[in-house]
Amino acid sequence: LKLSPFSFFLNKKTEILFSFPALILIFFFIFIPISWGLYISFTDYSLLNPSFHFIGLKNYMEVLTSYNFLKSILTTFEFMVISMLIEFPIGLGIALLLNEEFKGKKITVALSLIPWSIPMVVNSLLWLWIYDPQYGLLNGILYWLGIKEYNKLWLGNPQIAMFALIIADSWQVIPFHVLFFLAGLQSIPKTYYEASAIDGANSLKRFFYITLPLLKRVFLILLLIRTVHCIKVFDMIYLMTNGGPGDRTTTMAFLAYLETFDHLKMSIGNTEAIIMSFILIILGTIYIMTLY
Amino acid sequence: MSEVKPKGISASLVVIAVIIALIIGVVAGYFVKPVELIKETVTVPGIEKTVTTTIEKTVAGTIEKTVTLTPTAIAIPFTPPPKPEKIVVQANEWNQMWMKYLAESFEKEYGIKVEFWSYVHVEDLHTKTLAAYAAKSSEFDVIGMDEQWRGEYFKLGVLEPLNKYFEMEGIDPYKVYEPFLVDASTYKGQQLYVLTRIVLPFLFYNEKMLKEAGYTSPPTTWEELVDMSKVMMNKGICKYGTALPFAKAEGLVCQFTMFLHAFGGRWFNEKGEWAFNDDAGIKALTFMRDMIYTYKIAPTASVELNDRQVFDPLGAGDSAFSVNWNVFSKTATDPTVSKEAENIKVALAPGTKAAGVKSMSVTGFFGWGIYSLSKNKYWAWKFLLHQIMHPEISIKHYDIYGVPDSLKITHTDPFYKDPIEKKYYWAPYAVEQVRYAASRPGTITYYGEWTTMMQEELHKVLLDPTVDIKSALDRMVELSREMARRAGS
Repeated sequence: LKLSPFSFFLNKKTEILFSFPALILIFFFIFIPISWGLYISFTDYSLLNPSFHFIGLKNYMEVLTSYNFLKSILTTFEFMVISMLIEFPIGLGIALLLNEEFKGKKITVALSLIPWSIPMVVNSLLWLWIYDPQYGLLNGILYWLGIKEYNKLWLGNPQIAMFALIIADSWQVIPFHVLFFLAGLQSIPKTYYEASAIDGANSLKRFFYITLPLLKRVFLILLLIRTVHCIKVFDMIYLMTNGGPGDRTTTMAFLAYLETFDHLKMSIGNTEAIIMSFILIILGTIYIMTLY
Repeated sequence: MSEVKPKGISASLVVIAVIIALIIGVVAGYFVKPVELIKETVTVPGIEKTVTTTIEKTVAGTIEKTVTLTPTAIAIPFTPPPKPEKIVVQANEWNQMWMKYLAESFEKEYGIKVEFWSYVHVEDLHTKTLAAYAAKSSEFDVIGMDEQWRGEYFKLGVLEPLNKYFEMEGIDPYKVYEPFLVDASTYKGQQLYVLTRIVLPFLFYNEKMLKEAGYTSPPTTWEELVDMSKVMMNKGICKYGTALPFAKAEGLVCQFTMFLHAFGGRWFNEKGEWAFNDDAGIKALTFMRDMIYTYKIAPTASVELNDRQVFDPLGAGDSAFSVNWNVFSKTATDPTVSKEAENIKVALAPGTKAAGVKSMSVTGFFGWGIYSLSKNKYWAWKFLLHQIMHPEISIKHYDIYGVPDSLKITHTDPFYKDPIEKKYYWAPYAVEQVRYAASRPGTITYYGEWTTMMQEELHKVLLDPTVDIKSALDRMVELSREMARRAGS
């Protein structure tokens, strides 16, 4: 039976009626601001220059040829890739351990979630203290261990700063991975492992041929969530490095913030944010097409 | 069946309590001095009104002081608009600490509620103000104002100029505030805001360490500071001479401003073009970097330290000097925070032998202005005026932040000056230091973009001892000029 569009709405009127309040909110608080941001990106709007002229793709040309923006893309991808390379194996490893039965398992799972429950601001301040070059915990431990070059600059050294940020971020995010992987592992029927054991598969084979393929969807969801998180990473950088040393940790989101609120270039800031969103959409599509 | 009496406080317990209270009262009365009531009259030119204020001077007593303020100009007759129910002040938490005393008094006097919209960081005030202004929102009446935003705010018209309000009241701001503060808050002839306190760096030093090394007075030049540091470090008196706030932050631009002017440099040439890449600029930046890598009197960690963090080694007894903001005066001399509290003293910030500059600091003034889209401008003005009318609230800056307020009367009238100087020995240094202080180029309209660039470029030079300073400064000047060109200035 083929329904006309009108009869479709007539049949679904209760559903539409109930979703209407949510749709109104989405329209006003998501659709309109995004559309306005998109429109601004095609203008020369700046708080310091009250003109508001349509200038086509000029901002996009300027941003995409700007050294600072291109560098910020690389910095963002560096943050994202290294973060994931650290978080995924460690998260999966801990989840595999917690999936085994042992005494005190519940309390261990609960404790392992603590870093994730800490607000990002608190986590950033905590790691700022750990990395403090003068009286920080890390340098204190190195000094106590008798390592001569204990007075390391963790956030002030261009070679180390990004890695130091990633560690601070990963420490907080790994429990989130553990939770997802653990849920995925517990949904795999035990019978698969029992059958494979009877067939003579060792633990490594069971991991690669049963566990990993069945965790594909968990991987996909985590990849999507973490990609979004990493591309829009801002608060930690704002609090811990201010984009430095130099411009070493200036990511796309941080640069868009600077352009908009520090340099008052609304159109350039919005253009960067729109490009950032496009990058996210492209990455998301690639993930889904490859893994789903 | 026996009767059950309700439980309660027996009469004997009440009697005992009364006796104890009486004993405490007698003992306290013996030690605590009775309330003193001293009446004084002071005349200050500038305002036409007479106000009577009660000033808390000691724990035991209060002083009633009549401040008679005479006009220097004729006040313009004016019918005030109806009182609003409230005025909204945009502040950050730190600055609000003093403002709330002014608000309490204002509420009492005018019956207008003062509501604070408070943020954490001072930078948030800039962001929120501009976001509100872009949206044409009239949610604020009074806004917090850092001196380096004045060029931007002037161009955008964010602030209501105060000249006409001063004229209306018959007040000459130069006679009420310290003159340099009026100049610092004026742009192109318009007084944009009022400054409420004096904030700038001066020299903190550990007197005990200096004596141990055989020095009787603190250094007066940076060259001297380096030499003294080396001697003290060699003798094992301190780990290093000083820690420097060279993290990538606004503080780094403040530091460069100070060193640039200490070495005889200027931001602009006579034509008003950016010109800090001259010989003085090179010497200044070279000296900043040399303190870490060549003279080794500052830790390499300096490139990661902010203004607050450089105070830590001084307080812990690891360093002998710190040229730091006067807001740390209270912390530096507080034994609960600083191990060396008793030994820390202050002096004028060093100058340079190379340029023959006696002393040099950098201003970090903060004030308040009327938001141009406010619907209660007159009452917002009255709120700002309230500080002038109440010096006893103004001097609370000393107790709260350890810094002088902006009113001339509190720096000149012995009634205020003497007890303050007795309580806070460092107070006069800040007022004197202002004579030797430079400002960041806060009048440029593209300050936000400029300071981000400067922080990045300066930080790169300080991170790497191999970077060529002349080329780096040339690049900074080139980028600054490009920004100026784009801004049409």
